[in-house]
Amino acid sequence: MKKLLCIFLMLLLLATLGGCGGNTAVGNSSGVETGETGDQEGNEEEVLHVNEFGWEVPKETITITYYAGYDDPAEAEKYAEPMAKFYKEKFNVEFKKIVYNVDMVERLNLMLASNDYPEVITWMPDDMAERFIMQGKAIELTPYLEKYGHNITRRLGKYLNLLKTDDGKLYKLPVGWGQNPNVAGWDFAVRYDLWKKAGLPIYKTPEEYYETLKKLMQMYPTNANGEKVYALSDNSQGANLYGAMLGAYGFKNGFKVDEKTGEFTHWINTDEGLEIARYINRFIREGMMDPDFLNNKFEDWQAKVMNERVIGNIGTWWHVWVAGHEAWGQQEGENYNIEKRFMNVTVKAPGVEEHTLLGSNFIGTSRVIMTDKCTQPENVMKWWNWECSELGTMITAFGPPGPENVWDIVDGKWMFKDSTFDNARKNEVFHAVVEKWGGKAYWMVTSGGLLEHPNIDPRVTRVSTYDFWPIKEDGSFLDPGVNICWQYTDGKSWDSTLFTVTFKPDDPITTVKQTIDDTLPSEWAKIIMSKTDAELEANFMAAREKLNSLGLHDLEKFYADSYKANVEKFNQLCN
Amino acid sequence: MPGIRINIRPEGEATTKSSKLNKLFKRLYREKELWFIAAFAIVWIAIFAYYPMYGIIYGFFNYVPGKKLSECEFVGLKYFIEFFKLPDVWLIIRNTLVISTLNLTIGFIAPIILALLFNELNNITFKRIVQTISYLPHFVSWVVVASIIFSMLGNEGVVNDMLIRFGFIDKPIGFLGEGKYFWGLLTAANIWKGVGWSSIIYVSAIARIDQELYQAGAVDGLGRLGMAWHITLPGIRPTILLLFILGIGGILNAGFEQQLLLGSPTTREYHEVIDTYVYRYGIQMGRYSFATAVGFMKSFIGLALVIVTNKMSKKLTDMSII
Repeated sequence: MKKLLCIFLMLLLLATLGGCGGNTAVGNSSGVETGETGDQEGNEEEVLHVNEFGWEVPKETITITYYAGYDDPAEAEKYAEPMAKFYKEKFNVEFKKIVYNVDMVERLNLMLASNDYPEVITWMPDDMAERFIMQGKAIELTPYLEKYGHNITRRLGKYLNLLKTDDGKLYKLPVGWGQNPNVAGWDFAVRYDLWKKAGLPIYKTPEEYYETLKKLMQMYPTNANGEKVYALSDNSQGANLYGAMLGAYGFKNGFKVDEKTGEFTHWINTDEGLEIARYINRFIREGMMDPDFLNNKFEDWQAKVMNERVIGNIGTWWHVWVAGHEAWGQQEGENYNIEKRFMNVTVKAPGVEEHTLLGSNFIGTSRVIMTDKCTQPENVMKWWNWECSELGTMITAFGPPGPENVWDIVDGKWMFKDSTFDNARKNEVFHAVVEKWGGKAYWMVTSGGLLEHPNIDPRVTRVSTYDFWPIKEDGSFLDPGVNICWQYTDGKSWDSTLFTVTFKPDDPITTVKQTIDDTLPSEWAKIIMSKTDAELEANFMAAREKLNSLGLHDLEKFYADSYKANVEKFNQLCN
Repeated sequence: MPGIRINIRPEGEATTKSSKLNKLFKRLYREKELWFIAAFAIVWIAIFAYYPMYGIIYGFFNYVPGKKLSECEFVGLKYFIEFFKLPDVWLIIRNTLVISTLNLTIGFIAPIILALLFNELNNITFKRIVQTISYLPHFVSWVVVASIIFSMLGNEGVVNDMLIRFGFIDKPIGFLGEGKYFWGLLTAANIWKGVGWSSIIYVSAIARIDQELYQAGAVDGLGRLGMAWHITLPGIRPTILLLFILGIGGILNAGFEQQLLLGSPTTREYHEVIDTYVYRYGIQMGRYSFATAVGFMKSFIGLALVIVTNKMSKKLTDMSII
């Protein structure tokens, strides 16, 4: 009997041990399956437990030192405090985040020259990442990614291929990647209240937009202080004007792309370019453009918008958003009329199939690398992997969940606080996330784009690391003002990922690009400031000739070749 | 020993050299206090001005940040030649020389005139107040100066507003948007910012002029202008020459912040200078070799100009700085 009992107990023990060695997928109270399927050997000795956020809390504190680019060091440290405390307490992880208030490229070059750089560098431009890689100062990520980076591979998917070298090695990852969560991009805006009052029809083409602004200018020649009102102004030295126009003409990153031949033609070498120049020139010659538009700094321009001296905008949506209703809302408080705002409208040139006003580059242009100084690549990759989990992204973006913060985890759901749905306090909430809760303070690798997960509060949409938009049950925005702004914006974005181009510092084409970038604004200014049609055409042709002589055709070819190479890489490595 | 040449130094020569050394040591010993005081400055200059000069060598290599110099390719004068092959090189050189020349002429004379005017003020308290006020712009950053200029000279600025109100013009003049105004605008801004500060040295030079010369001038019937012309200006001539010769050395330094802050795409053909260009194409793009080569070239030309001007000055006025 004793023997039988002994055998039974032995079998029971074996069965129990066998059960322990089965599926180790980790579940937790936050409702996230983080699916830690990595190497578990010896983990029991190193790991205390898996916390409620899906992180395997190490016995010994992990400290990661990284450089994150441009910021005010004192301010960055101050804002990061709540996150630092949270990560230390709940994750047993510490960060030494380095930022400088100097240009990142300059600093990275100095770091390279002095051989003094930390184990991780993030938010670096792609070409700088290439420079580190070329010199053997970045470590290959594939082995660590395969072992610990399943969230990264899951969420980045086939786009990871674009970051690989020709021999399939991976040294860099994107940061702030993902699908563009915005509804609007380049913009043809109008003061909604004035437009509505005038009873004008909605415009769909550049010409109709011009007519609309012209009529409004006639109706409202001066503001309340008797100052002259302009149809348009600018604070980008004229670049936003052609940027948005090219979107209306379906140009891709400034190029006319022939999908059949794979040919890229820069806009200055196209008839559409001349049309665009004529269009903008008309505003200037007819006195509809703020005469200081080439010299305005953002603040000058903002002051004009706030003082109701500008009724339209050809540029990006957020410009008039910030300088318009956000500023008026704060300034006028309870007296603010919700209709006093700019409406962003999708405009398309006649004959153009698809506009390209809203682009979405999934991998973006910022990169993160582990340098050859990194002595704990496993730990760093584990962290990156956690940061790239959806919950990791939420925490990175909005700070520690809790009843005091703007969001909390309730019954496994990631719920935003009711008070954050108050439209009037939206801006306050937006800043509190960063300044009070350390949101985005330690953002090393995760997405900045659209975040989708069943646990996300269903009362919001277009959640990203930067923002979230409360909606009603019918799917419209909760804020009626936002519905006004975007009622005529179609929100269609085009995928610009394969158009990503890397300019390597030592490549002569980089100097060509810089020369073109420097010359184009002055030539553009000369063109649109022309006094007659003939002068405009002559200036346009002269600019075309000049830019081509500076190597614009080489640049066109480089863009075309890069696109072709991206497509091939994308397809080959996917198969 | 056939085939071997032994140089035997004449005894007299050795003696001369040893006596020269002795003299030098004696002089050093005699002036030991002065050398002790100067030692700190000499060490400072050696460390911060001469030691970094080894970096000039980077201008001759294709230096890639992060690599050892020995691993980088020697390219000789490649970057010096490349500079002269740049598409806008002559435009940049023209702008640099024009802006520098304007600073070296009008900008150089202005503080002398201001110092002469200060000298004519009899009320000491008023003189000090005016002098102090004139120094203030020197301490104002270019960012602030630029915003003052924008608000004054913009299309809706004070100047245009006044010109329109007084009926001189019908529509605003694009002072900031038209290239043809840029050089004048920049020179005026440079003078406004630096005239008071630069006048200090002339004011102190004027103060050292023997007062008896003025008394003698008065006896000879010189008026205020005559005294300024015949006594004050010759009295500060060495200072003027010294500063002019040194100023010549900086002829390729036409400014940097001013251009970046006041320039716009419409004025690029007038505001782009060597330093702004090198900053973008050298420093910002991490092309340190190119930046070093152009910097070295600028310094070399500056030094050569200083030496030539000094020689000319010695020949023409019998005064020199070396």
